[in-house]
Amino acid sequence: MEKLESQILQMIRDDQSFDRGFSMLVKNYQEKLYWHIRRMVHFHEDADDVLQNTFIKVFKNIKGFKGESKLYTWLYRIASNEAISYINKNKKHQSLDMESHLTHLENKLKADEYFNSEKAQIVLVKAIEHLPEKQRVVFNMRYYDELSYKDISEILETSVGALKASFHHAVKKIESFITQNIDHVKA
Amino acid sequence: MSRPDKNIPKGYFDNLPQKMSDLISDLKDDVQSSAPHLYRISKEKSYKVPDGYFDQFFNSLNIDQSRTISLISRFRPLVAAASIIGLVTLIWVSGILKQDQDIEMLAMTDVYSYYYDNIDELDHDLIWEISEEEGSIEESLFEDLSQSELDLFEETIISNLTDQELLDIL
Repeated sequence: MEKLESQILQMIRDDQSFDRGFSMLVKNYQEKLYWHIRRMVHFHEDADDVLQNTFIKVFKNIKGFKGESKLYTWLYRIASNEAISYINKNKKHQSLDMESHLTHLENKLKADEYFNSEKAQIVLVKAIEHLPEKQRVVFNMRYYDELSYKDISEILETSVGALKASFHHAVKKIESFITQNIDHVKA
Repeated sequence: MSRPDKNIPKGYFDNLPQKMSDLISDLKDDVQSSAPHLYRISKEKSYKVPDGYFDQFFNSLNIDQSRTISLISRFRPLVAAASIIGLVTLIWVSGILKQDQDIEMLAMTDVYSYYYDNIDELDHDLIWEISEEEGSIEESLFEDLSQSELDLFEETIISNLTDQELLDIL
């Protein structure tokens, strides 16, 4: 992984090989970043928009990347920030309370051809959506992306201890939400 | 208390608290025991993507447009210098306009129109002078600009001034 990162960065630093290096970067990280974004915004069209914005931002700033952090943690940070901005921007157009928001989300997911609308999955999505923003990001990174706390700490610029606490609280809240909706869950 | 006859790795006790903390936290991460309902729900992706999405993603990125924006940001140092020129020129324009009519009555569109119509008259030598005084702008940046790019650049600066800024200057 580190060898690949340094190879990509070396190519990007040279104007002659920049295009090839950038193409390599996109192709290597697009899927990981896409799924990270998709879990936050839920819908393919939105995830596609955010992923495009993420890579355009990367394109504009990659020359200034000093290598003080790992390349993929830097990419994750940009993707997370882009997704959060996108969510907040859309929130401004909706003034729904949490319950109405979750119902609206459930209906949209059920109608989405790119979502496996098993009840258990919908309950899980709603449980995660119920979390405060920071806990949601930490939970997704740790549980689904299986990133180490050290890497998450680098991405979110938060201490490892605080992240562990966030993850712990997130799991407890999700479990509690699922338990309350257990009748609907047939995993 | 000391047990000099027993050897332990160097720094063992220094690292022990962190090691124990990690161990305890890892145990807490054990979702299987702490959140059995969550654990029962498959982690397999419930989200799907259109066929071939990732194969085509790179080609769908609008990099060419970003290159243009990137080019503009490359010349960002010029914005500062050119803004000064813009201000100086506006004061000069205001001097001329005052000869004919009361500036308070002048529509902002007239100011912009005047500026755009006379874009060729801008003093490019002044840009050089300022760049040398500032010492932060490379001459090569100017050399790379074609006349049309320079005009576009100056138009952008004018557009970026608010009406209030223009009025304040005048």
